[in-house]
Amino acid sequence: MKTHWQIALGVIGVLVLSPGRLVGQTRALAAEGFAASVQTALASRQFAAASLPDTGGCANADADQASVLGTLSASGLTSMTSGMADIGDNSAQTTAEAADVSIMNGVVRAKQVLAVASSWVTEQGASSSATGSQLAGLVVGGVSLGDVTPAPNTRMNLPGVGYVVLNEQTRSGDGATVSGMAVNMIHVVLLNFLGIKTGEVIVGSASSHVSR
Amino acid sequence: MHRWARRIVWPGALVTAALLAGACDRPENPAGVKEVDPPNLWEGYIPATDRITGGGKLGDGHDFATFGFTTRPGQGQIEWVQHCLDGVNPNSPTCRWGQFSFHGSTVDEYYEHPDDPDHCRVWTGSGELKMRDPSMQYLDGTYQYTVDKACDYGEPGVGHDYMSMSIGDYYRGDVLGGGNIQLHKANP
Repeated sequence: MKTHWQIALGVIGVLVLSPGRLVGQTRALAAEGFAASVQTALASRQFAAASLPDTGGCANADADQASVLGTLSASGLTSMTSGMADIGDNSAQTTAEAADVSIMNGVVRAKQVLAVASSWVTEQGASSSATGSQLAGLVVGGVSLGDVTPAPNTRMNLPGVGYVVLNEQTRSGDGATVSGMAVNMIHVVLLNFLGIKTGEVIVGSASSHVSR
Repeated sequence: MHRWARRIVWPGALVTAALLAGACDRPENPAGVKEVDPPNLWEGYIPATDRITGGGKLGDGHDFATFGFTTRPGQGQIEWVQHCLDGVNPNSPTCRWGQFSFHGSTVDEYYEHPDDPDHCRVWTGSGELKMRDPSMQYLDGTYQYTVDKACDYGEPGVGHDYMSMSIGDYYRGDVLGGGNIQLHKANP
């Protein structure tokens, strides 16, 4: 029987490691992005993370390089968010990108990763889009996939590592007054030999959310 | 002249108008009268009193630009990243000098665009440019920029809204391939 603290740790772990968390769902608009993140037992790092101010406007972050030994290397990391609440119309959008990406010593590689999320709400309704997101020079498990925008939530197994979800999308909202989108272009889930999640690597994460 | 020579870029139509005015309408300068100030290149443009925000992507494949901005009279910022993954590519005018990022931190002029004042804005300012390729970083520094035209044509922005940017002699403009531009007329 699990003790309370074990259950609490489990809940915290799920919250920390859950992919594509939507942001600011009680605010009129919210947007955030990060170029890359690593969550393992040995490292917890996030690179080039930007979050839209509550009052709207613009925010950005960048880093020339990202390196977590044996787990992630990348360069040219940038994320940008912008948006504003207005009378009748709210919009928010985020881009997050990285170049020369190598995950788990090259098990997953990409020359360029770009995630785009945009959300808007008007008197006619609310919607979101991930159009514009893309992967260039993608290689998974030694197989070259070239320049692609995979179908949303494309999953591929990575023997000895876990699995990867490409163009991972999570939508939210009712399409009338609320809409949100979260995109993780590369999401590697690390599994141990028992198939239990031990960590994750995300590259190109963008999210946006609006309501009125 | 090097394409990245530092200079202020004005909209081409305005430059043409200014040159024509100077050539055709310039009055004689009586002896002893001081030269007048340079012509106002924004003459005829109506100052905008609203705000515009946006972000997204122009282009596709390996050669694309990403951006995010917020602009209102007298203040704002813009981030612009031009990509060229394969470095110098003489076949691509926008990739020719590799990748760079630009942080525009001022808004000096902000107007309704005369082509479409209901949907489009034009503004200028200055900011810092940083080349990614070390061999090109001698170009890093402060530049004037001009958003020649940013247009909100409703939702979704993809395939409808328009954005164009000039930094020095760099120019890129296109319909959005991702993201959105929002003109906030009611919220200056």
